[in-house]
Amino acid sequence: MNIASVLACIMAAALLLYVLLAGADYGAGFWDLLSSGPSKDAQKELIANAIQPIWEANHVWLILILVLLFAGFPPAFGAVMIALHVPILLMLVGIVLRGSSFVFRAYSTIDSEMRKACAYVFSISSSFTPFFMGILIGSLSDNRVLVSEDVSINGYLFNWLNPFSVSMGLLTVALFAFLAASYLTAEAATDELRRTFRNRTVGAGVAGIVLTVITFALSAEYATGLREGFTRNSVAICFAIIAWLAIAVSFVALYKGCFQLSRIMAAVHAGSIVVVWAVAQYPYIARPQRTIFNSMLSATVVHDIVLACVAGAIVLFPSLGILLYVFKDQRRNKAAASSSKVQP
Amino acid sequence: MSHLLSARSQMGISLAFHIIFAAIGVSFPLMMTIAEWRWLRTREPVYQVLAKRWAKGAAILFAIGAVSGTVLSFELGLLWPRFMEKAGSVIGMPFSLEGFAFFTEAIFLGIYLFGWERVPEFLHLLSGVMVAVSGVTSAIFVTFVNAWMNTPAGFDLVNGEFTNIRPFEAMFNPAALPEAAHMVLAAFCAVGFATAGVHSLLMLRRGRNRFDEVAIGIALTVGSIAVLAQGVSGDAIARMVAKTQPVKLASLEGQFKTEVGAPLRIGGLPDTKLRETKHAIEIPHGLSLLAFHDPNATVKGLNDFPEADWPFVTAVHISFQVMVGLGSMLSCVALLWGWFAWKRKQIGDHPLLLKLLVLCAPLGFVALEAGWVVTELGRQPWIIVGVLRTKDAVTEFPDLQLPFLLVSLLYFVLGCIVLWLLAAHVIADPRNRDADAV
Repeated sequence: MNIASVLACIMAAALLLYVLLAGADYGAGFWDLLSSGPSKDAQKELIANAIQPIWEANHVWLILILVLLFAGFPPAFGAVMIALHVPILLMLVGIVLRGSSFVFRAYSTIDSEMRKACAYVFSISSSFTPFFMGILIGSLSDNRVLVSEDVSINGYLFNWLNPFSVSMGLLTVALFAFLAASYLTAEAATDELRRTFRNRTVGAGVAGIVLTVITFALSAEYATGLREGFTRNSVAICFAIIAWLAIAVSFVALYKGCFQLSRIMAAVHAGSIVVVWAVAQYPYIARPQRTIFNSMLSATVVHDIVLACVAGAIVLFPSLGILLYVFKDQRRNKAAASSSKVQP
Repeated sequence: MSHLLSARSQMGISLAFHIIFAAIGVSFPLMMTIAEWRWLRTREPVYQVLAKRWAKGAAILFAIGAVSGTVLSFELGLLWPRFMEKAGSVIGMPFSLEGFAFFTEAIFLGIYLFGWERVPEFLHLLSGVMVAVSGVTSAIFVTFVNAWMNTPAGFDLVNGEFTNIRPFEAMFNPAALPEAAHMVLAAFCAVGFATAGVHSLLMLRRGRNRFDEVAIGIALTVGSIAVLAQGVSGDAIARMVAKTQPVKLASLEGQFKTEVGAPLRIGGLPDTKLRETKHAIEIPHGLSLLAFHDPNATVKGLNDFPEADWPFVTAVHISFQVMVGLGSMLSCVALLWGWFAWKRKQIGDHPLLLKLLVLCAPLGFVALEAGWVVTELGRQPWIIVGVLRTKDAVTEFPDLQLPFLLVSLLYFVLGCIVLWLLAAHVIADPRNRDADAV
């Protein structure tokens, strides 16, 4: 395996972790927006406890992908940043609004109007940020990111505003909602809450399946390259099968009341979809112009960056392990959870 | 507003906003760790309460730093794609290492926040140390990138293309260490004095209490050591600038003529038409002495450089004066505090000093922002000094005014909410469980 592919794999792994960790946080915000019924407050509380402000750190995965992109494949980075300026900016606005309104909501207990407004901003931005992330991924795959002399040939709006990218955006929202709902089902303390989120897991899962089929159908017209990469690659097909099996098992597990298994299967499903996309997109970063090979300026630099990533990972993963252990321990102990929540 | 100015303004606003929260993320962890260490040493509960309270504050402001940092890393590409296309490979190394350092900081902050009574005491303190160390490390790496833009190194320029890239040589460019030290000290100074000011205000409102007293003690000690060390670091950075960026040195000093034994100017207003700096107090041979450690050294003036290579001299000069002036004022306060500590006097007995500290609270941050104006405006018209001009790096995206308005509005609203929350929680409501409890 050459060094460009190694770096591309690291980027795909970071994307996978971002989807599994931050995706669930976004999905939780989406459910916050839709929380309703007699247990509305209990739903909101479960969601608030499930995401902690510290998990804003999840954005580091996104920053890492970005940094590796410009360090390793600068021309592709330039093309993406020029052609997709608008959706990236909208996604960033979402990230800022979401992160800060979450903090403000936790902070502003004295003024309930303010708190309500922040909660509203939080859940709306949690829903539209993944939509634009999906649009971004869709646009990278659909042969429209064409840049010549630093100008986007297909303009700055219609190179991403098309049925395929929009359907990818909706699919991302559904996928994150599915992930979050299955995590929340496992964490719910009462039967009523568990029932609510179980139904929502199924709803989001079904919506995801429908959107997957629509996206695949649309790819025949809009993203032929990606479709070809998908249908001809045995690894992609394998992971697609795993994704289907995982969602099926997750549904059965929900029905049988095995919520932990359902949660794991939801993560496997979401993860497999990321792998399918990454494999089908390979070796392109932005179709139809930029591949990892024609964008790598210096193999030596990419080599050094990969070494830096390995060194970083040696520090990162054990630390992450300790954090997750402390977190899990904390969740198990409800008393500790209520005392360490962010309070003003 | 012109295309280029929109891009520069958007970048400037994003940086000015982010740097406040970044500085807090760098220095708060040190103060909370010191508080916890004092608790382990003395077993006085007040220190533990303080550590917990500061940690919460750090976590809340840290989240805003994280999201605004995410925006900045994207804006580098959104606004300056040609800069990143050329320089991305050269400066990717410190950026990637910064990512890992920041991640480590976030992880250990999580352990710190949720680990009270869950992890052994010693390990809990250690996780605080890890937060502090990785926070400083991430600041250092990201400043290395800015330093590279000032003193580019680690590549060969062949027909306008960067070849033979040596990432580590680029990372440790000539400006790297002086700039990083200056930035880290600035963060400690700004946050130390701001925290001391807030606790002074609280003490004025709710009367003398041990909680605010120890808080002021720790915050002011950190801020004072930082501001006094800043004098040494300022000297190092001035000599580095004199050697590598003579145009910047001339602008920040308002030096138009090339002079042997140039004077140091305090205050004054540079007039770029008449090419002289008026109304300044001049200390003979001062600049030559400070910049080159030789009273008769030659300082090159702006007149020796084409006007197209000048930055906005007036703004750079004024910002520099503001930074140095505020730094000197805070140094005096630091010395006063040193005398207090030496005489073992209690700060609660001196309302006048408390009021002085309240007035000083924002000054460190003003100096920090002014310092960045000096660095960034002083580098213009180059984005990479001597290699790439800012106007050649800006994106071709047609309507930059719109993103600029959007981002400005966003940060304006966020800034208002942060101030409002701080005012509502810290200042308007001095009744405080923590302070009552100890």
